[in-house]
Amino acid sequence: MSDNSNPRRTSPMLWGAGVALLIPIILPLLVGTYTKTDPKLGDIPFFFWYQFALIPVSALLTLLAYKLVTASDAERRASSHDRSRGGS
Amino acid sequence: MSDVNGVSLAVFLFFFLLVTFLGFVAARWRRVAPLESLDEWGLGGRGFGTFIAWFLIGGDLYTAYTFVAVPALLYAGSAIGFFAVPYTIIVYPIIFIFLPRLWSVSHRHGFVTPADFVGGRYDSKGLSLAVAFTGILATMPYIALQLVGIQVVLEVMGIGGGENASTLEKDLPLILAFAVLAAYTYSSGLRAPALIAFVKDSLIYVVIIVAVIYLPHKLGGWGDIFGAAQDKADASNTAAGKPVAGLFPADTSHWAYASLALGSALALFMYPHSITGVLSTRSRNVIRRNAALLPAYSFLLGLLALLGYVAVAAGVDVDNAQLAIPQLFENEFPSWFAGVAFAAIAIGALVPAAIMSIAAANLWTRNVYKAFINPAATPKQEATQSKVVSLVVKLGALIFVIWLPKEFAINLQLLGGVWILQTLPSIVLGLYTRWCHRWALLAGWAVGMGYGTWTAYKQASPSDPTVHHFGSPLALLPGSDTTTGYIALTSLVFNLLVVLIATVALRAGNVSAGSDITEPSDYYADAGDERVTITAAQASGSVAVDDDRGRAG
Repeated sequence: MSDNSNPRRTSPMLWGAGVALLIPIILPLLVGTYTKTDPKLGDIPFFFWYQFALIPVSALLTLLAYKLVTASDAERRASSHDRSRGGS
Repeated sequence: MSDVNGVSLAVFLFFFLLVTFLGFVAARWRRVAPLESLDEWGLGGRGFGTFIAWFLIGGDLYTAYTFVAVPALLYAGSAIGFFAVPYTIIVYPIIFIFLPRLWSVSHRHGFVTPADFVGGRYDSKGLSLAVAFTGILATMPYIALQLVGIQVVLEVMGIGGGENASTLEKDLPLILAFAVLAAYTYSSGLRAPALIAFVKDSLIYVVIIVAVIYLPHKLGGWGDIFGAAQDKADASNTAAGKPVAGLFPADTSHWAYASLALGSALALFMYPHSITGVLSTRSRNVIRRNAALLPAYSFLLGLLALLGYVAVAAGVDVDNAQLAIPQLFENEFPSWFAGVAFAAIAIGALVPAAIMSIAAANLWTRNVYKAFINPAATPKQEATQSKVVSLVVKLGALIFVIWLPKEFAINLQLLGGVWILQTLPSIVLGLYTRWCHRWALLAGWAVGMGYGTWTAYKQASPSDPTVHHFGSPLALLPGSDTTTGYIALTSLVFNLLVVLIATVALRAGNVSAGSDITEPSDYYADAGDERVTITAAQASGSVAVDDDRGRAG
């Protein structure tokens, strides 16, 4: 996630983005937490509606990560342009 | 051939002709430079914006496999088939994390394939060749899977199929469809699937939304549908005398479910065709934005998977589970809409097949032809070479379809997944660190490939006693009697262990690690930065890429 290329500390924003991206990776892997029938949503067993519910959750978290990373990029660009133009 | 429905066939042919027309017209779409370079033919000019990329990458990832194989598993009573949903949940954060770095370094150095990157990073033609070889090998069964998708549609429509059909009669429509596909891929390159993807996804969205609203309404609601699926699972369990089916994975199958999801997600973006889709985008933010937008497809995929249960409730009775969904459409939809649905599946096979053959052809051209056969190849020669190889790759896929058992098309793709995942250490670790030694990566790759292929070979099919080899993507974990896991992921663990140990040994022995043509800043360069837009096409004096071209996207 982080750019280890620039001599700088990983910003809190990038850490936040990393966490936002890890949640949708880890939750679906905890299969034991959702292999059950109840509580049902209408007629749909938990196993199915839970995984459907994870889709918009992961999309929103990825969107959050996008906002954080673009903000962090803009910040870095501003500072690296100040330092030198020949770095890239 | 007597039960062909004229209305369905006419609607189907209409859409097929429409996309054929679009496929050829695409050669002129959004083009400023001549098609005679890989950047133009093979990457669509590297200028696709968020909107087009969404369709293109979505069209890439959600294929005939989606329509046919995933619901087929649920129809057959294997809840494990629903792993496709967590898989597509996991894949987008992963794309978000890794692929912008690959985009950046590829744009700085004009890399067209992942093997280009590996070659440049590790100064090793051998490792680059291994990655390219694996990519081509893994893509073949994936294209074959698309062929299977078209085949089942044709069979349900009553053309070419049937018990007594001769081989030629059975395969002729398929060969014709593929010949047309080959022709417009040859002439238009990546622009053809990009343009057709609009039609494909629109059709698929319409068909699925109609199917999941109309069919449950007709069949008494989701409660009855899950009830019917549960009854069928109970009946299979009684017949087998042990639990073999259910609405969700049994306790011993949790790791199987999770490892299939994780392994497939990691494998997906190692495939040359997903990387082709990603490298054709205009900037690294297009990739990130798409990672947040593409889950719309995951929802669709989940709904599709549930159609397997809808088919059970609707009383669809077919021996070959893959026919379940097309048969469901045939039985329950009015014939004109069934034609639309069949067209959606068939076109859903054509788009990814085109992208995959382009990606495989690019690998051949850059990492075999240019690296070993004709190092002085001009961009025009490269493009010509790729065009011809894209034809050869499709032919190879046809042979794949005839040679391997088709009972569960998904296993073909999963076998490809076993192979392609073994390139992950070279590509992904390489994006972050140069610590791994090139020969260690090569050794790890060889061990992973060998172990994975051997283990897959040993698996008999759990559902079909006549299949003794390559019958399942799952195998018992080493040292366990009960827990199964996805072979690809287990192989990757062995692969990584070898990389780790061999790197330590080679470094201790001071074996040359080669030079590295990339520099740290390459990995976060973005459109507009210095040197980013230098591609082979421009270096050879073709028209420069300017930002205005992206506006349509």
